[in-house]
Amino acid sequence: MIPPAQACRWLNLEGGVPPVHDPPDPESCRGWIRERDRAGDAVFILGGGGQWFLGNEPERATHILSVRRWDRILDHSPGDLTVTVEAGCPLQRLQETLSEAGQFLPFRPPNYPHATVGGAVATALAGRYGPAMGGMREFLIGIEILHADGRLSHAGGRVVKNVAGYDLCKLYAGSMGTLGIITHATFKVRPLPPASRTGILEFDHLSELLETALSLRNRVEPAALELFRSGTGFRLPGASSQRYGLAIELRDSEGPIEWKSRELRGRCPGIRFLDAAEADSFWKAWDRELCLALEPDNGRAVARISAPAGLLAEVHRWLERVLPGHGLSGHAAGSTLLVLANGAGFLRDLRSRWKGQPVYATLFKADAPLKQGLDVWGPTTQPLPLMRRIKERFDPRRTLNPGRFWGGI
Amino acid sequence: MEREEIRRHLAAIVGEDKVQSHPSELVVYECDALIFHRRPPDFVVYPSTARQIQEIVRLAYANDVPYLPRGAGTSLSGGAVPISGGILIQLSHLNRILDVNPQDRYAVVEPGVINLELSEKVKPQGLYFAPDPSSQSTCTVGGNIGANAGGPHCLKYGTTVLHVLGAEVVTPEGDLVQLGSPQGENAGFDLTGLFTGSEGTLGILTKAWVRLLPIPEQVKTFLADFTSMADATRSVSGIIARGIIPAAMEIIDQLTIQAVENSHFAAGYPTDAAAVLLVELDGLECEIEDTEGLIGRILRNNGAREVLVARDEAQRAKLWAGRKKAYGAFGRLAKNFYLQDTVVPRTRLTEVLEKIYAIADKYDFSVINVFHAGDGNLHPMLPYDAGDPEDVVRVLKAAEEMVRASIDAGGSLSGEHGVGLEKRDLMPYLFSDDDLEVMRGIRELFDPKQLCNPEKILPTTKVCMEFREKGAFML
Ligand SMILES: Cc1cc2nc3c(=O)[nH]c(=O)nc-3n(C[C@H](O)[C@H](O)[C@H](O)COP(=O)(O)OP(=O)(O)OC[C@H]3O[C@@H](n4cnc5c(N)ncnc54)[C@H](O)[C@@H]3O)c2cc1C
Repeated sequence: MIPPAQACRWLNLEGGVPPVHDPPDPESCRGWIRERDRAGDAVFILGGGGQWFLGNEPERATHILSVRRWDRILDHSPGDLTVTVEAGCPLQRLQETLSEAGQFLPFRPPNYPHATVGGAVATALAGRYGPAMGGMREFLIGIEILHADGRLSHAGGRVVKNVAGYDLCKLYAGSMGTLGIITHATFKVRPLPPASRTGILEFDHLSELLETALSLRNRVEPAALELFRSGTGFRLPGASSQRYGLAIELRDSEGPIEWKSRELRGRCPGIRFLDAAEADSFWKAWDRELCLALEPDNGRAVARISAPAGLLAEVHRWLERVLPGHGLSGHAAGSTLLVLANGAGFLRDLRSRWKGQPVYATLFKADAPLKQGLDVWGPTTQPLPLMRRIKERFDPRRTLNPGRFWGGI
Repeated sequence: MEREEIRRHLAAIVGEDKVQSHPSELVVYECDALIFHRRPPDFVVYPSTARQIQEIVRLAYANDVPYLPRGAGTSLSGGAVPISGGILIQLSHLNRILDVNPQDRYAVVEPGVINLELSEKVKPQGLYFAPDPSSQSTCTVGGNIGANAGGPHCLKYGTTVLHVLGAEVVTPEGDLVQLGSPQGENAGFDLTGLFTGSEGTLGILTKAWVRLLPIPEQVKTFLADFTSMADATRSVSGIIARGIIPAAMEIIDQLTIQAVENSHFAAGYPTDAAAVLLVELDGLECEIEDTEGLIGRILRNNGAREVLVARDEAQRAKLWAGRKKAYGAFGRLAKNFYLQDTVVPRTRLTEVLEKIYAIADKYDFSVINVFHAGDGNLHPMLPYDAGDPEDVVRVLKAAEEMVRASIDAGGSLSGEHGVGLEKRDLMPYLFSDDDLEVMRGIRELFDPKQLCNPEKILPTTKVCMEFREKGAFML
């Protein structure tokens, strides 16, 4: 996991790294957080630290609360396909336990090797399996929250279907720690597909790639359909900076994989299947390259752009003109691009060019100075007064991760 | 404002012929599909635009008049009952499918669109709307979103919330806002997720962007019959434990089998079976081929006498009709039926079902169990006589005990029908004061005056206290 001082490099903190509080369990943290709240402090919540690049510059940060010692798997019921786990548990460790029972959670948040369960819930960034297998909204079925005033509350439960009152799991997932501290979470999990295979296709134009991806999505239902192009320090083995790559990952049992591979070969004769070792190193390189792009102080910015499939290719054609040579990654079937560039200025132009259209452009990562004066998240289509009221109700003194979220929440 | 003045204002908004206020017109709206709670509204209005809804809500807000949205009124939890009177906003005139986008696989619909009609409309594009409550030929997409409805196939595809990308909503203060987006991007908190299942208490949905799925290439339906219910439930756990998540797994008990086979929905279920289990696989041909053998083995290993595979679409439809029309098949076998909805971890199914039979015995009811076994969602149904006050008290007590038994086994008080009025006062059995306080906070910040579908979901403080003292289900 990333040391707090290093995670802080993503933030522009006056006065250096705040003191780190590292309680052994949520119960013993209740008094501490209540005091911070009363004293008007500002607490930044630390899981793995790998996603601290996200969001606005903090308004204030007087303390860091590390939940890393809350790392137990509280209950895994393989027969129910559910697991309850504390927030600080490394996601990879959870996956290991699940895989012993032939199960898994399809989450690959950025900086995956450092990710904790709580961090994954807080950002709700599913990663490459999200479009096909579902994101946090699908898998989070129960949660416990430590509120700024020291109260503990629960929502949801341990059953896979539940309509008992407001579904607060939905509200907490993706709220970036602005509403409460996640202490533990319950997920429904998926059976782990026993086999996998990766094939690569190349295209001259992104529009062609997107079209192919959408037609393959229906026909072979791949687990992941990721697009990429090398550029701006983003390099994947075998990828050129001229062409667009589409990595198709199948995860299934052997029979369907064979069938789907034949289908892919038939439809896309240019496809190149990787052998197991190649596939492994391809996806490792994929994760590593993204980690590198996201590193603090590397001069790079990463923007996340999402738009309906038809519009996305158009947005990208425009990007080609204003930002030649950028690196690219993204979910081809999820209509999302990650654009890697030197500097973040293009985002302003992009937003004004596509104003009024369903194009969402957020600054995913940028070196701290680049974020200043920039609206990291961009304009929201949701009612900001209502979101502010939610923050006010949950955290009236603005103790938790203040300022990081949309609209300065 | 006087009643007549409110009526005039409403008529000015929607037109004279779209307001009803005569008792004979209102009585139709006094309850939903749960008949225990009744109260007619003071007015029923039929808006046909979001703008009109906005004006109605503003009028209500300014004059402290309660109101609520209603789709088809098939709610089984009293969610659509105007328990405080006021204005009932009937959404059946907002029933247009505004857009279908096959490439991005979503549709834009008004709330009054009937669930099944949406699927039929997009069928030529090879798509469908996955949530499939058994009421799908009458219930509305707005009501599905209000209730976060489920259905047999949500075992694989999830409940309604996973199929809502965005929503246009009139807030309880009368603002027209957008939650989520056609791509499902949230741009902040997942307000769409929070709104879905809020049972009409956080505002009125006026438009939704809903996800469409491709119609599966192939579907295969199995019918396994068992000489004991426990074997059937164990088969369900067995299948899940082997890492197979079928599209649907439904159990039908002996009483129902007999009723179905004696009705014109006769599906060919073996009448001497203690239970039958319907298992449906869907997807690519290769995926089905890969699992069907294993499913057959698991079923047989768990005591299935016979495993029938539907040979064609006609037989498949017949097997399903038995399930979907099961309640109808009981026809006049009892004066009334009380359908309960609880959910338990699937590994506890066998044990909780046994308790349910024991509870029914204790209260001297027969109990019918036709349920979404795959996700542990029980639907015990009790025949009773609504005209006999003692019977009503007894049936409510029995049902409450069944809910408690489910919660005690690590389950929840509703899997898909919602809390509404029916289970409001049982919420403290599942949630602590602090849990409920957080929910209350949500309610208050959306609806400071608590006029939007009042008295639903959350117990009043008084009920909480009485509940704890007496431990009884208040009615
Ligand atoms: C025979 C039968 C079988 C059923 N089977 C199932 C099943 O398998 N699975 C299942 O989940 N349910 C089932 N139900 C319950 C019910 O059909 C569902 O809850 C359905 O979603 C309700 O839709 P509706 O249009 O009738 O909504 P209504 O009953 O009118 O309303 C339901 C709730 O949603 C709110 N609401 C309605 N419209 C809006 C709107 N536009 N904006 C905000 N809130 C709104 C209402 O206020 C109410 O609280 C069944 C009911 C019956 C009678």
